[in-house]
Amino acid sequence: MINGPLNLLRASAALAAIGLAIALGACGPSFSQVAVNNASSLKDKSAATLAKATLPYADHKDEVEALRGEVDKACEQAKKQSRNDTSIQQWELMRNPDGHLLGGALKRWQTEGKLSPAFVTEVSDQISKGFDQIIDLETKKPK
Amino acid sequence: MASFDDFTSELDGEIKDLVEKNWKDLKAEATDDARAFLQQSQADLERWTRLLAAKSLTLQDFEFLLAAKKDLAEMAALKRAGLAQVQLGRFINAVVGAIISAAAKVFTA
Repeated sequence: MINGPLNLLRASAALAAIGLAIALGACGPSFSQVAVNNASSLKDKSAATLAKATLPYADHKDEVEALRGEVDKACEQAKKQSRNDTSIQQWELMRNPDGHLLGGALKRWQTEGKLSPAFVTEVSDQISKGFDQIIDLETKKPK
Repeated sequence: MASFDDFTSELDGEIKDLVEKNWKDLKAEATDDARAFLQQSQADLERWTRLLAAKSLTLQDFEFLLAAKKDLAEMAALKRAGLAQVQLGRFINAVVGAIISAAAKVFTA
């Protein structure tokens, strides 16, 4: 009988410690194979689509729209992962039409009709490095 | 024909002026950041200025590529921030383990 309140106190303290542990354990992002697959696949598709940017945009409009749609989906997917702010910001930078990676390059192609071969080669290289940054961060998250 | 050395010496002067005029309070940091950015971008800058001189790139192309370089630097900074968060998560997981272990020892013994 004497041990009753003491046991209750111990149980409460144990529950509090476990609750704190669970709350602390919720810190930090976790790995997503889907995100890696998205970034790898979009890296290749972006390079393939941009390789055509020396040709009239109007002839490749559908392909560009499809690519934009896939990047939007990947970004939305990243938003579904919890504690994933930095990866989400990377995707936003990549797709931003007013930026200077994939979104910006596609907008420039659309605005100017076609782009020079040298520019396409150089900007594709920068975009590819951008996708590498996304992949690198994702693969280093705990599995 | 203008050389890459001409370009870097012109650029060095412009960066000094820029820091003097607008970033005086952060002079050392601003100059270091600008130099680090240039160092990381040197190979690309050399190629792009060559392509600009050969008129394979327009000035607008060149500006866009430099801005892309800046976006990439931001991507890299985000990656570093994300990795720091991962490290913090691992540390906290270790703390969680310690809390559970201590709780088991003290309260369930």
